[in-house]
Amino acid sequence: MSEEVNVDKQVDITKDVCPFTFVKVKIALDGLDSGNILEVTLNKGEAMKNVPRSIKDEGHKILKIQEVSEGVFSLIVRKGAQATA
Amino acid sequence: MAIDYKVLKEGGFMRQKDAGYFSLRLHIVGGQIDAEKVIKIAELSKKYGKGYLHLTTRQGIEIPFVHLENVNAIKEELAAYGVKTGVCGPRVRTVVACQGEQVCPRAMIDCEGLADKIDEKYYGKALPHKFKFSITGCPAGCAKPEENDLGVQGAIVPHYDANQCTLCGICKEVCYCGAIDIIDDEVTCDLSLCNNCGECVMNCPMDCWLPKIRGYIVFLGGKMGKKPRFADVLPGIIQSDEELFQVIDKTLEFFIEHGGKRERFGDTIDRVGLDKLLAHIKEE
Ligand code: SF4
Ligand code: SF4
Ligand code: SF4
Repeated sequence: MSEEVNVDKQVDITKDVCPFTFVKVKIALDGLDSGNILEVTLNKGEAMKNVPRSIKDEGHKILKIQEVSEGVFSLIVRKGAQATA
Repeated sequence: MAIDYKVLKEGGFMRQKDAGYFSLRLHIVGGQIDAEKVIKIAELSKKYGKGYLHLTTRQGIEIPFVHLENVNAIKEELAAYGVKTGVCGPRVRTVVACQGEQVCPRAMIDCEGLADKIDEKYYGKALPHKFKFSITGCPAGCAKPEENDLGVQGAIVPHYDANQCTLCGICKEVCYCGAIDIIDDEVTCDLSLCNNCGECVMNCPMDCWLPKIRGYIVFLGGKMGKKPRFADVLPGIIQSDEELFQVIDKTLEFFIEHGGKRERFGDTIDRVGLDKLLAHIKEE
């Protein structure tokens, strides 16, 4: 996973709870064009169990996921083409 | 005038405590019904009943307070709208189902389609006692397959391909069976712990988990009521509709052969032996 991506937007959901975690991500993605990159910062646990899957289900592609600090992950998401607003 | 309650009952007319009145059971499959039909049914409940409907515990609809003299008229009007009456008595009853893959993100099978196929093939079939089918999309079991005479549940067997894996740990996190572990940068899966829920497949952001097998798990002999019994599980995963229908045919055959009069299927299994049933299902 060495390829470099330019992040177009960032959203931090580490202080939010479900379902606002995904709602925030969705709003952030809505503001982007397809192919643009969003970086999501989220916590292990509930958010990790729900957010990546919802992103996948809505037709976006998760390019990369890494632990950035203890229990905190960074998700690099490319907005899908036919994803609805 | 002698009233033939038996004929009335076969047609889904449930005799009420009030003399001369019936609660008319309708034929619904998997809890799905066209909105247009619901409107017609509602109108008929105003014309022939008391203007309300009863939603049964098994995803059915009944029109209470239909008088004996209107039995034929309401049946004809319903038929004109494509709504059939239900069944009661010792036969295959309403097939219940969860919404399945058309709606639920967790579903691994087309519950609606399968419910229709089972209904078409077996609904109303006469047996030693009532017989209930349930179709459910995943181990969450919203349609309660283990409480039915024959339950079908969607299932997958996962297969891991390290290719794009970033070792993010999501799969381990979502696997509530503890089947997945990550040790020394290696993802492992103990299939003996896996309950075939598909969470790893649905959650991995890199699509490293794929369903090697997708199919059905079958539950046998479950029931609630006066003497509840949790279903037995048929070992293995059934991989085609054809194979599933063979299992169902064999199961019903066994029940017809061994079932005592008014004996529920679970009690037949306990009396005759689960091993005998499993052997019969395996027979060619
Ligand atoms: S049983 Fe599974 S697939 Fe069916 S509704 Fe429940 S969670 Fe969804
Ligand atoms: S979820 Fe996918 S990418 Fe993450 S560790 Fe599991 S297999 Fe690897
Ligand atoms: S299918 Fe379910 S139980 Fe089996 S390994 Fe995947 S997440 Fe775990």
